[in-house]
Amino acid sequence: MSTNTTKFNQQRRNFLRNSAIASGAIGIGALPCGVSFAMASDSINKNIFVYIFLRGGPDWLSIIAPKNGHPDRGFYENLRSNGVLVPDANLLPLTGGWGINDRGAAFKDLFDNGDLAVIRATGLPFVNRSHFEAERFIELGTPGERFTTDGWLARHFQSAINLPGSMQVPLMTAESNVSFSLLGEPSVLALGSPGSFDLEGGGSNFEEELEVALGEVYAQGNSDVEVAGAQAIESLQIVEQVFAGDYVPDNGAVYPDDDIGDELLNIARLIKANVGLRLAQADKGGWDTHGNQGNLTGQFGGRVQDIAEAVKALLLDLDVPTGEGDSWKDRTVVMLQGEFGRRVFDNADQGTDHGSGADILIAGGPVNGGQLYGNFLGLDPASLFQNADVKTSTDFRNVFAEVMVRHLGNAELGTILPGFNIDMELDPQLAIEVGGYNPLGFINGVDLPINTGPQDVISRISFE
Amino acid sequence: MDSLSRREVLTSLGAGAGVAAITSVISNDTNAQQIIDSTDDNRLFPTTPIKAGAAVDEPPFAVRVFNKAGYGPAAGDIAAFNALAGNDDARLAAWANQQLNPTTSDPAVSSRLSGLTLPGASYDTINKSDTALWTQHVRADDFNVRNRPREQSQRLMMLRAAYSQWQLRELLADFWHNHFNIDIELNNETRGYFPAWDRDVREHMFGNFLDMLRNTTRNAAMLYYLDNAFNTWPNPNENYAREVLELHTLGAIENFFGAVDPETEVGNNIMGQRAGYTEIDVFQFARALTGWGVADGRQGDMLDNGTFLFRADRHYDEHAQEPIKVMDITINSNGGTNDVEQILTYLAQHYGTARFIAMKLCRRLVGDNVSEALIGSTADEFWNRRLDSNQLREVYRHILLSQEFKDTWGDKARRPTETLLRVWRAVGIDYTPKLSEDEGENISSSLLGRLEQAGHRPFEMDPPTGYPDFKAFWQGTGTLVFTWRAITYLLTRNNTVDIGINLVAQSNQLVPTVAQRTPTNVVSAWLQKTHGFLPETQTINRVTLFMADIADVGINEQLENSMNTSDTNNGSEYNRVLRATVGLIVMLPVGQQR
Repeated sequence: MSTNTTKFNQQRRNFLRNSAIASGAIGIGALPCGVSFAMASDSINKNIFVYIFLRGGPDWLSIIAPKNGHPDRGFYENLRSNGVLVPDANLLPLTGGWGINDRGAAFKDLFDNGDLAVIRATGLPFVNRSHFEAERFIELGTPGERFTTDGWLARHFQSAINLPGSMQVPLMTAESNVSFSLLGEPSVLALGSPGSFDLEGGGSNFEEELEVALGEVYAQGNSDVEVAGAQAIESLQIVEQVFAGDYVPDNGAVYPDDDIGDELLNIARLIKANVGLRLAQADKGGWDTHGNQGNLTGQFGGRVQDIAEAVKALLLDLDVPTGEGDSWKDRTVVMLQGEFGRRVFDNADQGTDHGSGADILIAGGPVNGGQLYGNFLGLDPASLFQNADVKTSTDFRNVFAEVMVRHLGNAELGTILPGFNIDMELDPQLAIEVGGYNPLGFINGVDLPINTGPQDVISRISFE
Repeated sequence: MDSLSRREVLTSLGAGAGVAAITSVISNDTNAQQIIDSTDDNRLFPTTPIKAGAAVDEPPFAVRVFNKAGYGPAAGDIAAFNALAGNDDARLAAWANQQLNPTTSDPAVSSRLSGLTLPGASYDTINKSDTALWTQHVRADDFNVRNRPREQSQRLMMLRAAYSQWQLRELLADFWHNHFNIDIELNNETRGYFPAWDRDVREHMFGNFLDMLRNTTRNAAMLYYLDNAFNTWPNPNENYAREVLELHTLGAIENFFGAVDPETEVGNNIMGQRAGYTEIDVFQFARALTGWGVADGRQGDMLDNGTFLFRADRHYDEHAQEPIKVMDITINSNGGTNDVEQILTYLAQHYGTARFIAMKLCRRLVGDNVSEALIGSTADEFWNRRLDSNQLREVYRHILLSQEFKDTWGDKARRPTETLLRVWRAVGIDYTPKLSEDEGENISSSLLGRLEQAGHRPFEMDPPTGYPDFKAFWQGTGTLVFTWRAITYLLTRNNTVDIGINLVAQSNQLVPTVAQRTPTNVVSAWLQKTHGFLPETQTINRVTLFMADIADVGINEQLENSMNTSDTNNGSEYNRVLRATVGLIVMLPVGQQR
């Protein structure tokens, strides 16, 4: 795949570069059109994907758990003999006898509204309980490949044929550094602190002149650091405009006053500024709860509340017209995922150790919400993986693929998720029944003919 | 303006950019094409190293050495290096030999520390005993007192990197701090005990890896960071056992086999050892580590002084007779610390550990795409010297004297702290970071805050992996902007109460004659001073034009025609012009690589 994809990467990179050179001073709201590859506007995908990574691996059995009367409740209480569980009284009912930790009441609201779906028991196609490896395998989208140097979202962006040739801020992460899922795409705007995204000095130190000169120096070459530098300077000017002044979220949305609340608020501002944002990434860490987990009143409960309220606020804030007949919410899908689930049993330190099968939450306008998807095989010993983990029944890539195909309109799965096809080897210890793309239906969108091989660059170019 | 008008320069820049964009379609293929075919297990790494010349600009040999094996050259370094011997190979060998044998004498650092007399400004926690750190800081009621060792340790990291004559030692200390990562702000134990942790990391840095590993396993900061202080039978907390295997010794990259049967599905390595570890080995090691903790007063009858404490009654053998089996080691416990000691010795002397440490060191000192050949020969050096008291010193020497170290350049992105410190040294910033300053603005706090925004505040990587050490992670817009912000902040504070670098005076030393002070000459002198060489003409022209533009003179016109170039006051126009010009120079793309 490498050679062909690389050439196309280069091509999109040149699109970005040309637009940076041609546009000069940038106005908000107008895409600079300095390239000759203009496409018909109806073939352009305008959907937005927000990917929130729950770093550390949340204990999903303390977020979504069986209520009294569910056949797994007895197993659950036995397995959590040190008390790391959610009492029935604290489980708000979802469906099928399952409930959600009441610290995540905002998720319950979204679920009941049809804006939230849960995909059960997802994971790597083999068990790996290392943070280090599982995060890379998932965010890079290439399980088992230890030396992949670009992320699945970067490969999507570089292979998508339904995006404009030039875009202002197509990709951003709300973190300071490039996240693994966007690795390898130097044009990502890493916006950890938009309020101070600027050079020091002010006018008396020729700050504006310095920005222009730096932008030109970095635009001279095409190495990764030069592309990133040129994009950084261009971003300075855009961010300065987008984040000027106070911001009042629409519809009375209230973001929680913490890191993930701030990050999703910043993402909402950038989305609504109409600068072409398509992919946004944010992290919420602190889920590696080996001790004193605190499901209800402790650290874990607080984090569940933070993410639930932040996602609810984002979708409420985005539920305003784009000016093109739809709302920003209609275009937006949010995914929350960690690197693995945790052991079904707790440890003596009132914590949980690393496990495997994990849930994924999907929220947004295009989501067929209010449902649990996938196959949760149960908590009885015979249904567990090696007596210790929820058994994985859905390859995480199948979830990625549905987002790619149905939401972002990119069927180049051979490029985005190489090795994910019907011929792949299935681990008999897990419960994954089908290899390759097998949509679960949590996204309301159309399926496309899938290309599991290399991208056909020649026809792409002539198409353009 | 004379000789070359602004418009002409811009026109030539535009043409140049076009050419660069076209040629890089070809030249960039090798960089982006690093997806390795999974079916070919032998090709774990690209086999062809990136040769010098593939990067933006290639500095001379001595400059490359100081940038790759330290935080970049300071004034006098290059001349001293070149005076060591008659050719580059001999100079490097002599320089490496000095750097590999650091002494306790480090006057440039110690004189700055002893010069701090203001109340609250001195580094009063860094030399406190382990017990004093625990009782006076970890256990303090006041948050600021608990946090003071953290604040001082972070400033000490910058101070040492900026001024120590033992540049290699400081670079390697940073390497090992990331290898045995602790997030300093995680809890009171990591904040308050960090100076003791720093001592434990550094003690055997040039010695034997097993000694270093043993130090880390008995330090309260580590035992609290990775939860082993709470690891008790019968429900072991696996966190620390997993990370010792996965991050500190064997590594997860080549030697982790996952949830398989270790007896039937792992096999042996070329040294006849069990080739790697499985989930079962993680659990077994966690069993061995039960009761391995800290004298933290958790049980009323114990000392609360932070020293290592093995609690036999929390160790597994009180409750189970089944032997522990970790890879090739089977232990019938005698109920003491020897269970863990046997496993640590085995792990430190495992060939998989040699490979993992060799790979990480080679990536740090040479480049992201370092050859499999150099990793292999370095691993063999590590393995062959596994019983030697100077094992690590000779491993470093092996890498530093390799042809690949000598030949390569620009295969690493400089991380934010490294970029800031390179500028600090290159410009000759005279500033001792301190907690309390007179002027109401704490410069070192502002610098650390900007490094935090850039994602690289010292010792604050939250996950135990340490800060990543590959290019793509550090080449995002946020990383660059906040690194630039730290640099421009530092330069705008020049010639103030606290930062004693006078750009005007220094520039006038470089270009003494008033009539010679033209943008062309001044820019050329600063490029040479801060980068050690002159980059490509196109870049020189752009910077020269920038200076001419903001100073409102021609590129070969005397600056004196527009301003008083002898006015050394902080607010003088020439100082402002120099701040911006030097800022642009030190932020050039070549300064982002090493």
